[in-house]
Amino acid sequence: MTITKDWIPVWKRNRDVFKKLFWVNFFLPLLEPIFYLITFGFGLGSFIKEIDGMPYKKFIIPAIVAMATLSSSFFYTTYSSFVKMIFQKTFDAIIATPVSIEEVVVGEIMWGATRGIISGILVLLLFKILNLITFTIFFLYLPIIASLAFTFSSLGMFFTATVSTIESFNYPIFLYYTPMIFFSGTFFPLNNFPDVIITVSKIIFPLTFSMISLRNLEINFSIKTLLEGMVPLIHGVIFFILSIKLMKRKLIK
Amino acid sequence: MHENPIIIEGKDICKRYGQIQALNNVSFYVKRGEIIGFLGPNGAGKTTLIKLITCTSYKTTGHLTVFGLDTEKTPKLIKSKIGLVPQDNNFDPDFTVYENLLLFSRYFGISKKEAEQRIEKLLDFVDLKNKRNEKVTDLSGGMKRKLIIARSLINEPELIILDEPTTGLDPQARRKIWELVEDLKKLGKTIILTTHYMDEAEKLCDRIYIMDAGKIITEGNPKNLIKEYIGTETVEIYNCNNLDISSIKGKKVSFKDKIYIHTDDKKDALEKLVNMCSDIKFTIRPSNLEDLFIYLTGKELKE
Repeated sequence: MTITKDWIPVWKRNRDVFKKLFWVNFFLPLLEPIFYLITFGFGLGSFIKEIDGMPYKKFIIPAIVAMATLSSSFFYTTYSSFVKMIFQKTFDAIIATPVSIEEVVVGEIMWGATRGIISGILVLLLFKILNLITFTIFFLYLPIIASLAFTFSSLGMFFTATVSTIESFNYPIFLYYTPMIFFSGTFFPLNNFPDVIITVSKIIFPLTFSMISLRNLEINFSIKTLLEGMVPLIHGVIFFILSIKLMKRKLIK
Repeated sequence: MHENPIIIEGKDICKRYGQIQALNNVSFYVKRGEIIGFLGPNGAGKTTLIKLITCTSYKTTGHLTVFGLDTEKTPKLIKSKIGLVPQDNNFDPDFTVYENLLLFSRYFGISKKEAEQRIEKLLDFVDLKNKRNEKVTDLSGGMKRKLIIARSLINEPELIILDEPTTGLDPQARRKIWELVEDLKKLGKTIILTTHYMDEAEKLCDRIYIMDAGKIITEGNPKNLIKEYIGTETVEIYNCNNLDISSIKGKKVSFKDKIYIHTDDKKDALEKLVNMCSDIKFTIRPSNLEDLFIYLTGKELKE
């Protein structure tokens, strides 16, 4: 598996589409974090005094940032990449040029990651404007956001390489993605569950590490906490390599 | 034709997809400056062969070199010198005509400045200058094919491969594509085309390989092949029940509800048929590749 810088034009292609479709593909989905903030932060949050010594509004903020980031990455390398691969035959067109299939996949994952990072930053900016976070938090969150973006971009591509039809994305989405969204310590802390469940949750849903870390960073900063938030990268690297191999097997026969 | 160097050489190539034998001991060569046609019905193995040449598939066994290079060891270098017109118009639907060409130039590592100059020339060459800002999805079928030919030329390829370039086009659009192919030949390009249209192969190709069910059946110049195998004239007889044609010289093929007599001596055939009975319906016309294909395989090219 040799990968040269030829993945960059693939990344650039995606960036150019993104610029064209910024409003529909990007700005509109950004309304979702605002709805979350209203529902959970201001709505439900007004009934809950505090969780782990933290006002619920503050508790929910890292979850909203993380979800905006990873969904932006994950849904890019699943649906968008699949449509390009199967319906638009864009990958076929590109691999007839010097760009290899491995480089196409890397370009896709890297763009998915970039997209997630942009989403995360925009949500953080929004929260900064609303004075819900500090500048320190803004910067401390960035490496964790980047890890989540890369990880879920790779994971999405892994599913794209394994599903046969666009409908079968429902398996990974409803059996993995959705439970992860609820059970990774996003809307409620896992503290009250037995340790076994917490451990299992951490292994299956790497987002759990990031959620704990993002909240601890609110309280106090340490390098260890920051690194814990980036644990998903381990999953990310594994799925990155797997998705390249599987995609090659799928498209080059 | 004086001896041009061979730029593609395939020897005993086999390709299996699971249980399906897509290519079965295929050997061929292409010389610089030739237009080579691979002619055969759907499923003959033409597209599989194209995939091997463009380094987007792996052969099961055999040898294949393009520009003297192994397709599985140096794909990047080989692909940088090939222009492919695929069967599907796989444009990027989010972009305009001009943007599609610019986008493609980046995959070849062509600088933006250089690409812009080439795109001007290419849009001129395929006569799409006034469509530059249209969305590709708004182009007609013929225009899409022309654009995809322009796209295949962005890297100034030595070898141009056209996979079914005129399938699904109306006759006028087909003629336009043929003109473009002939222009490319004049520019000294080497061209491979696959087709299941015998008239296309006959008109454009210096040499053809006739394929069926993963095998190459025969190879040669279209006119020579016809002359060699079946003769220059073909008599088609329509209502031929109980007709004794054994005295007529030539090769007789019964196919569907017609009898074909392939011959070099149309006078002999004409005289005997006229004398045979009065209400016989027949035509005499020049033999073509379709006749040859039916003669060789007992099947039609088009299903």
